[in-house]
Amino acid sequence: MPKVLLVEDNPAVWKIYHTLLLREGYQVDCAGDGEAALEKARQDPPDLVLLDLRMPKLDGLGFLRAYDVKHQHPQVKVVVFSNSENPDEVREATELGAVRYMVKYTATPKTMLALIRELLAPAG
Amino acid sequence: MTLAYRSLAACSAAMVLCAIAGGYAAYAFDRMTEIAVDVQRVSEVLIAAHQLQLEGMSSALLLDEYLEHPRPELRNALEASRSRSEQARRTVRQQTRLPRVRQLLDEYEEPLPPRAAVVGDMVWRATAGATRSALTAARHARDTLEARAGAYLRSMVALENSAMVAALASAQARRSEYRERVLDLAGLTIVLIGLISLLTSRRITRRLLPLLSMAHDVRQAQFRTRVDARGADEIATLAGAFNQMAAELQELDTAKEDFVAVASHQLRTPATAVKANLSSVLDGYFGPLPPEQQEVLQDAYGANERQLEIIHDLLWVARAETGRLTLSKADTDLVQLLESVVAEHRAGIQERAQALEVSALEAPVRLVADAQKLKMVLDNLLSNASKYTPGGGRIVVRLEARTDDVELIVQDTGIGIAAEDRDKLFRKFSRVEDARARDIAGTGLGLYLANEIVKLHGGAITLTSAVGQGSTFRVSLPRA
Repeated sequence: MPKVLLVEDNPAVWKIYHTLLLREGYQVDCAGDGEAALEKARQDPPDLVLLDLRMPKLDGLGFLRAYDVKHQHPQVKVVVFSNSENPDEVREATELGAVRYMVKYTATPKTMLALIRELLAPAG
Repeated sequence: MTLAYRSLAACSAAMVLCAIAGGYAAYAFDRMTEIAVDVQRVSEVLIAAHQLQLEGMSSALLLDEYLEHPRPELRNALEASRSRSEQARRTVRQQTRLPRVRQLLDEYEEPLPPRAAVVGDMVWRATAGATRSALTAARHARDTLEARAGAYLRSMVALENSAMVAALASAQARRSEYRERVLDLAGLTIVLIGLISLLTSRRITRRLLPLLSMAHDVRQAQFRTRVDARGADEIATLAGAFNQMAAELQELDTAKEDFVAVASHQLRTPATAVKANLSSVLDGYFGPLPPEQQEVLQDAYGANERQLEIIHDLLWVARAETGRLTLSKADTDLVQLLESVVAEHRAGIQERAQALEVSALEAPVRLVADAQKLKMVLDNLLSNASKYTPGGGRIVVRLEARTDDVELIVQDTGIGIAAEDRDKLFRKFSRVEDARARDIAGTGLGLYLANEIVKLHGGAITLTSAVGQGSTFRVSLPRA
């Protein structure tokens, strides 16, 4: 089963996504900040990262830079999941290798799960 | 120079002009008085000359009477007449300005001693009871002398008379001249004073106009305007105070908007968590819901959506207010943009049983614009159209491409907007009374924001509406 790393500092958000992703049958790991996420991703590279941007210690863009998704982990699909609509942040996240940018307050678990399913579907 | 000094200078100039006009009037009055004195003198000379003539005639008559009846009272009367003549001669000599008159007076006075001798002789003879023939001879000699004297007197009178006429004529001429000059000067003074006050007040007014326009901006919550505060007068000081006040207001406003931004961000995080949890339940991830629960949760979800919407608007307004609402423009196809917004609203519009008519263009309409923000504008107009249109109504969305500009038109058959509400419509937190009364959800920020975004694109939103018939919003965007 594909592995999903859920990086989110708000328990009310990560708990529900954790539950739903497990129900969908994925292997799910959670991290509350960028540093923890970096550690987990380095130990056990996931297939997909659901990444919040505003987090303590190391923020989402910091994670993207440190993990160097673009060059070192191009196979890891990163979906940025943030309430920030700042066009500069959106551009930077995309440049650092994020495949999608989802605005948190407009998305619902249904749309998110559909997107994850689509991204993790076996090629072909 | 301060305004107070400047007004003082203008007042002083006006006062100097008044003084000049007044001084000239006083001078003219003095001249006229002198002329009057002169006329009086000439008339005195004339009266004296006439009196000389009269006394000559009366002394001749008295003498004749005395020769007939030598009574002492007639002698006394003769003496009195002679003394009056002397007085009149003195007057003429002293007062006349005419050398010729003085000369004539000399000539008149020269034979006076022989005339007195003749008269004395006659008086003596009459007293002594001389014969009639002797008296007649004496009278004849006297008459010859008197005739010559009378001729001198007549010449004198004639000369003084013409002097009198000339003096009166010149007085008349001078009077008209002075009168005209005094009136001219008074008129000139009035005109100059008027001009001075006009220029002074215009100067002040011209400098006050930018302050007035700035006050208007501040009233409209535009704190970025500044006025020229150079100079050292009161208006410059006032302008400086205005600038300082605007700067402080701007700081306060920025602080307020920063607070709104921070608070909204903080509010958004839990509101987003509520949305994720509620929608997962509503979407059936935890099993089917009994209808009542479904309804309750649906209401909660709706309220949460409203909350997110308000937070969204507040954040954008805070950005607009602090000048952080900037455009990131790119080549945009408006047809595609319009279709994507319409697609998002289609389900909701159908749910309210409203007819939706979209007449976009076949070919793409390209414009360099901020697609994300134009989407917000169109989204707002379309959701307003749907919100304020009763079921069964019609919503028309149209795109018109012209040479110079592109127009996005959203038309509805809704409740309409009263004329008195139209100006308020694009202001922050303004909501039409009718919408409040009908309990239609809204923050009163959407149109304000839409207008700001369109203005940043160099365009404008115009509105035509009739209460009860519907509204048409036109977003015009320039091509260049």
